[in-house]
Amino acid sequence: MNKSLANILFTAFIFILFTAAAFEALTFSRLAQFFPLYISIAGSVLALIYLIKIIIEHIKETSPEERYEQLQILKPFRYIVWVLAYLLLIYVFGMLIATTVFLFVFLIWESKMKILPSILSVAVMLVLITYLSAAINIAWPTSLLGF
Amino acid sequence: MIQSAIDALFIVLDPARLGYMFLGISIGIVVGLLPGLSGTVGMALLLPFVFGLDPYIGMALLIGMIAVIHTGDTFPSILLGIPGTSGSQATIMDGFPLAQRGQASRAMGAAFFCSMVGGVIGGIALFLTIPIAEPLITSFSSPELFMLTMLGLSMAGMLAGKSVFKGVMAGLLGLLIGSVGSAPAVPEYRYTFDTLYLTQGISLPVVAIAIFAFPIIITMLTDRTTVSKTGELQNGVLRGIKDSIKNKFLVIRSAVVGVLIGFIPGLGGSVVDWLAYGFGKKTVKNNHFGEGDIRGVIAPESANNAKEGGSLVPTLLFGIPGSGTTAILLGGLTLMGLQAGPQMITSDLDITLSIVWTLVLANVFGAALCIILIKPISKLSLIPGEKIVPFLLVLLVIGAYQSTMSWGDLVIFVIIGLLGYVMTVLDWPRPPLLIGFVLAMSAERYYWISIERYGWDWISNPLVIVLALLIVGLLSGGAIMKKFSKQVETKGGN
Amino acid sequence: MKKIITMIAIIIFCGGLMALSPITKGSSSDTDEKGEESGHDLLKFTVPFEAGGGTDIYGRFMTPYFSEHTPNNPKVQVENIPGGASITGTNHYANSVAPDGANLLTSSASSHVPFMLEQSSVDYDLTEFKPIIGSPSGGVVYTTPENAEKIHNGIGDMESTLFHAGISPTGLDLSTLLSYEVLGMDVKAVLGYEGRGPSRVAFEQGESNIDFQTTTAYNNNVQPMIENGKAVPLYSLGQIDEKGELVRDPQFPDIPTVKEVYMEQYGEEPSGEAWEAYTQLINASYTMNKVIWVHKDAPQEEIDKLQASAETIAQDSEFKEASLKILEGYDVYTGDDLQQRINNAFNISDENKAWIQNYLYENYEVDITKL
Repeated sequence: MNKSLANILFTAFIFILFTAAAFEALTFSRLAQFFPLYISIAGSVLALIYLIKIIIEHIKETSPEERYEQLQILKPFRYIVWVLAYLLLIYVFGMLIATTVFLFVFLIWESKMKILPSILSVAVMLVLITYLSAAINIAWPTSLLGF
Repeated sequence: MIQSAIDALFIVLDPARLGYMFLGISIGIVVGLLPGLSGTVGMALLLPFVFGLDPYIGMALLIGMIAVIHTGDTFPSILLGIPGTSGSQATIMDGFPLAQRGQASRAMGAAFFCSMVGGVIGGIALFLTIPIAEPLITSFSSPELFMLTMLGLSMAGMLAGKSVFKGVMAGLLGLLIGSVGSAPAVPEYRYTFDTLYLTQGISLPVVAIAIFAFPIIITMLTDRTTVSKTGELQNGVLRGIKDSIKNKFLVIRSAVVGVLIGFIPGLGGSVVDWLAYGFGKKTVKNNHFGEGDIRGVIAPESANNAKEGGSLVPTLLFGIPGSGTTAILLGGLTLMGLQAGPQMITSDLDITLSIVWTLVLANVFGAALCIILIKPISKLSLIPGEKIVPFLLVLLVIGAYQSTMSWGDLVIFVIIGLLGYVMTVLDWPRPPLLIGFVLAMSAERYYWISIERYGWDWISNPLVIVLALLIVGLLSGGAIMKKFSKQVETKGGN
Repeated sequence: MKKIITMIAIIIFCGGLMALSPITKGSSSDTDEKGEESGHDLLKFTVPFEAGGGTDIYGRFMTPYFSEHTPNNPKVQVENIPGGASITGTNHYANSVAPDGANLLTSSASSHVPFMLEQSSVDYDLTEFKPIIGSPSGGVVYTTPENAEKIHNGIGDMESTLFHAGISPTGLDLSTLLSYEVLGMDVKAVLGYEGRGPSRVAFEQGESNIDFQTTTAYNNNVQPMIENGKAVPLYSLGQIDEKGELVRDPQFPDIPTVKEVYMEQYGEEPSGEAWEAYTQLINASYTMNKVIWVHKDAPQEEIDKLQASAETIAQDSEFKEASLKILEGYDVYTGDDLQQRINNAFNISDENKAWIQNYLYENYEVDITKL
């Protein structure tokens, strides 16, 4: 996807967000309403103007160099999935297991590290987060399994 | 007062108390260094230990920690582009580009030196304002506070970058995110979608690390690069310190901004770095802020340490905490059998003065310790992204979770993180969003109170008019202000 | 590369973490001296606020005494679950914490009043908990010397407007607002301030001209203003005795209560719906300001043990001395006396409840049943 199109899509999303927020604000009581309502209406109007402006620019192709700047989609998506997978692991299995599995698999697969160094660095990290939790009461996310 | 100040110095220099101060300093640096762990977390974990402590020892521990948090938090901001705490966001703007050019050491040298000077100025300011605190604080009533939030928001416009549209929309988005949760004027919850988590609003540390850290993590992985694009590290600590000395007026100016913002209760100290950065950008000649100008590091770093001294004035004398950190400090005071209030400058004056000394000493020692650590830690910027990111992610997840210890924190982390990533890719500026977010509550609160209490009469308050003129001046290019700024500073930077 | 990562990690953490070890050890040293007797080794206080607030300090202040006076000398820990103005943590305690007698709840007026008024987010039932120890707090309403004089000359003749700077109509402000209602004072409440501290500063600035502070803040911050002639105390909010009557606050024996001011102004005892609502709220939010509870369905012998330790804590002279300095200086309530007071405080008639709900809706546009 090229950048100019992506910008149009994102602006449209922002426009929808502000508009939805404005409608939601209408359901609040008078005193809770004024601030979010002002903000979301202002945001929604601005987003609409900007949206029209960039759509016109896009059609006219006034800035060809930006138009042809391609964005990576798959690569970032892959890493976002990694992050989400890690969180899911924590949610199901708890911090210790999730961190061990995630770090190890990531280091081997993505970072192409050798097994031994991977094990070593995972171990160091585990000791570290355990220490944080035990010594200075840093809480870990709770999990379904309860640890 | 001088005599009592000297007496207090000897109290502070007692070896046992000094030991606790160093303990506080080391904890403060670690807490600042780990992204997501803020002063609030640091205070919360020290609180169980202060109960029943001799107040001098307890204060040495707590103030030692508070003093250096904004020194230690510079490391991740400059080296990784991830704010160590929410007080060092603005440092990223120029510190990170400098690190990419291999000049991390120079940026950090300048940052730590300025942190130290700023912190010491904050301590001195605390000492000097003790006698005049009351009239100063009472001169800021709600309309003035509202104008100050407007001043902060106009800073968002200044940091908007190339497209004003994008900047203003980002700011509005921040205001909208900030209005999630309880309304100030009436106990009603907004945009909570029937979850209890959202009733307390979205917490600043989560937003601050998500919006900066998440994009960096993904970008480091997709680009597979090290932070330092040149692949080498220049040794530049001394050069950084020299830069700061060359820009001494900027350092002092920013520190004063920091003290003042910390001083005024109700604004929250989290915007102080942006305010100092914005003022710097407007008042320094020939700057290229945002592209790796060392003065873009000097301004916020001088201000964020100075703020702590300022914010102790309303905390200790009025019992009004300016931030989560000082709120817990108040609790700590109570546990040691002290109460905030006017007696802190009468019967408990020696404690207040020992706090001033601790603040000054801790800033000096903290900065020195960080300068020693520059060399080993700055190697971080040479590690390839795919090898450092997984470890960072683990720390970030733990850090984000500390905000309210609820899964909601992690969900918000991902949502705001994705938003931040898209904004980065499409060149939408993120600072306005953060400023809007931080100021949303105050803006709404003080607008409402001003109108409800005074109708529209408050518009003609002299201080309101002065602040309005200042905003207009800043927004209209600041060309006039630049003329007044010192000639010396034009030669600074690179 | 990974060597560098590990090296750096180690260097960074050594300093801070090593430093932390001694203090954490110090705190746990007095725990496992004798583990032979039956009973828990660890008591946990759930505090539904962030660390550092009044309720948190109250819970933390109690921890060493509970450790000392409970058989087996358990370690006592505070767990903060902030959010939803204390509703989140209290709900959590009621529904997700094991009722084994080792888990206690430290609650405050912020949990009591929403329960009493049936706020919709409340998912706990205070009658399902057994109170172990409870402490009152008090409040004093003060104003500027000029307004104090006008009020003494007769509330009905007052012409100037009084401004009250408050936080929220459903919090501690509610009792004070009701006291104005009882006295028939025309006060404009400007609500939305961040806390009691900012509202006091608003008074000093002249942004408000009538205000109230709770006991400790009053003694520390308002007393100096009174000495400088900038403020005059009007009345104390009072305390509810075991018979349900409003009496003078033991911390302010020289300041009249709302009741006395009313009698002075109108020559009769206050009565009516506003007055009933007022005394009900004073009981639930001031006389029962902070309470430590345990689940009612916890093992009976654990409850007995906790109640017994509360009794001995209340007699502990060291505790009394420290609580003078750190808590607000009131005697604590325990045992049957406490249970009786709790029953009075939360036993609100449907008419009173409806009246308060309606009062909030009419005056402050708050529909509490929807919160």
